[in-house]
Amino acid sequence: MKSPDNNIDRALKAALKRKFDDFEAEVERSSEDIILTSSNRSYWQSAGSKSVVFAGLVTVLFFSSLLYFSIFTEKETASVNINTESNSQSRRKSPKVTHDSGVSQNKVPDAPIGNKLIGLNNQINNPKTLKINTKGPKRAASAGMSSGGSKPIEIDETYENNINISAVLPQSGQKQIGDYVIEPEVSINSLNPGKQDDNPDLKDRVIPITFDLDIIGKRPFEQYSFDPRLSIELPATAGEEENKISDRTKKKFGFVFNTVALNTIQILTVKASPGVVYQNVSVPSEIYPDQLSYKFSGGITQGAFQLLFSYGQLNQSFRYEIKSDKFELQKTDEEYYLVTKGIQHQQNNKLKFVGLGLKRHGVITNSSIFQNYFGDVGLEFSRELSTKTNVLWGNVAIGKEILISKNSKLNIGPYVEYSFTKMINPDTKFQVQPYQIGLSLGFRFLN
Amino acid sequence: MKLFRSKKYESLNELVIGCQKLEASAQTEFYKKYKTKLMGVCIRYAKTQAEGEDIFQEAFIKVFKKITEVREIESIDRWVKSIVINTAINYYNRTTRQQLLHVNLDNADQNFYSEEYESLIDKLDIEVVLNIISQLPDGYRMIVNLHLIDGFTHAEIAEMLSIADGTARSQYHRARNILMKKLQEIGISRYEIPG
Repeated sequence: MKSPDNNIDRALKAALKRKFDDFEAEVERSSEDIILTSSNRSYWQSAGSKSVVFAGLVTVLFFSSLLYFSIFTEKETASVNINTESNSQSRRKSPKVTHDSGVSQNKVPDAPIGNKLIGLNNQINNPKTLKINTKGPKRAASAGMSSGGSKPIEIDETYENNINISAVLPQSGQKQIGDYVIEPEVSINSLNPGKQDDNPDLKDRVIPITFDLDIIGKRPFEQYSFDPRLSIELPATAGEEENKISDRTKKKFGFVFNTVALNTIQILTVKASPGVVYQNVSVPSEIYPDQLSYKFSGGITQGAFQLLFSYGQLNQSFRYEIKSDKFELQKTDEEYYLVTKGIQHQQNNKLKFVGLGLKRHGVITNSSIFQNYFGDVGLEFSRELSTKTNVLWGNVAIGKEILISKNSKLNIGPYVEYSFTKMINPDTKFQVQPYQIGLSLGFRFLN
Repeated sequence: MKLFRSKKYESLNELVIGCQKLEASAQTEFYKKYKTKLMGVCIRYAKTQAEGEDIFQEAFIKVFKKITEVREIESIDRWVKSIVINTAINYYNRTTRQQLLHVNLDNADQNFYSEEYESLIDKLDIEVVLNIISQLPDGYRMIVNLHLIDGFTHAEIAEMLSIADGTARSQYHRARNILMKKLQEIGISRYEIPG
């Protein structure tokens, strides 16, 4: 026999079941983001993430190509740089002459003509044509042309001189043809050859260059032949510049690869959550090898700047308790006290980042105890792959640069990285601001 | 223009397998399939909308984490619902389990016939019934949901709440009495059902 209680149960069950059987409720949009980013989804399949990676790769490729082609354009131009100082001290020193001999024999190189440069260009196929580009005062050009014949040019050291000469190597059976660019502020005096003997100091400063300028007339070529492949190394001027951070790598293009092992330290901000009280929040105080984070980066370098694409994993762990209504009586030496018991929780997350960063790299080259030590300062924008959080990092590295070969160098030293952005832990809603300290090992290959 | 087209899943079986392989598109589709239904369950068990959202998020994260353990894919609906219910129970266990001890245990005068309750619930808007349930103390709300709506037996409820079978029964009766009392109040004020 059914009791009234049973009847009521049955009636309530039937009515409530009917009511709620198809009951559905709308979900806030933010929940979807939190759930789907918190789940261990395969990141590489998410369309948004692919787009980010794709955009990163395109960016790196674009900058690489840009820098690569800019280097090749520069390398096709041969130049002779002659510097003399105008002050009295520099009078006693030999002028610094450098020469870059990377000249293609088959090409007429583009001379680097600036606003103050004059270009004299003899075409290979038509030696009688003289092409003169005058973008500056013509006095230097006349100085060059009035030299008349194959004569040595003396650099008047009274002035600060800069001469850049681009030259084309003669092809076999052809006369030597040159493409010369002379800065206008240079004073080049056509000397009487006999006068050179009178002033022995000037002997060292005489640079023999053969001009073939048909507009002036045929000149003999047999006296001197200028070969731009020759490199003239004269003693370098000791000055203040030597004490600065070296720019040996300036304008050099190359590739950079770095590996960093990091220990992560976190600044945790516990946000109030309705109905939940957190207590005893702690982060690990000891370092274990399996908890170390790591980061790989690779990219290109141009001069002192590096553009790097990076991938890293950050291990984040902390413990906390959710306060319960239970208390525990604990005893110290003399007195008892009540401790609120909590339910222990532990978070062990592996956060994976991809990012794009820019670094400034400098090396000390003066003969101090810090010789060949380097310093890096950089900024990096990265994206966490599971929570899709964007993070801006600042990083600093110092250490020793070791020369492996002529073109390759190894960098090793401590590395510090600081996040300017707070990330939100999806489970606890704690705000986490990480900073990392570690050891960096880098390899640079310069072209 | 979509650069990467989402994969299509023809059946629930493929969808679950996709989720087990951690395929993002499968998880998104799975989420869309179940979200409103499961949010409805969460709202029933929760005291407030905000708590319902919390339970929902926590439950769904668990679903995606544990879906690899599912072997009987045909019973996935029941499995997902059980995860949500367990999450709701744990949610309130963490904070308000002791509340049961401090509740005013008023017994309702059973002035209504069983058919009248049934008729009243049918007449009331779902929001009103939901509001009545959400006003119940946490423990009672759980038991009402578990027994009257989700159809669990007292033994199952006792196991889920880690209490004795007798305790589960007695608590259910108290919970039901409060529910009936609240329904009577609403019924009298709205539909003038004689008390």
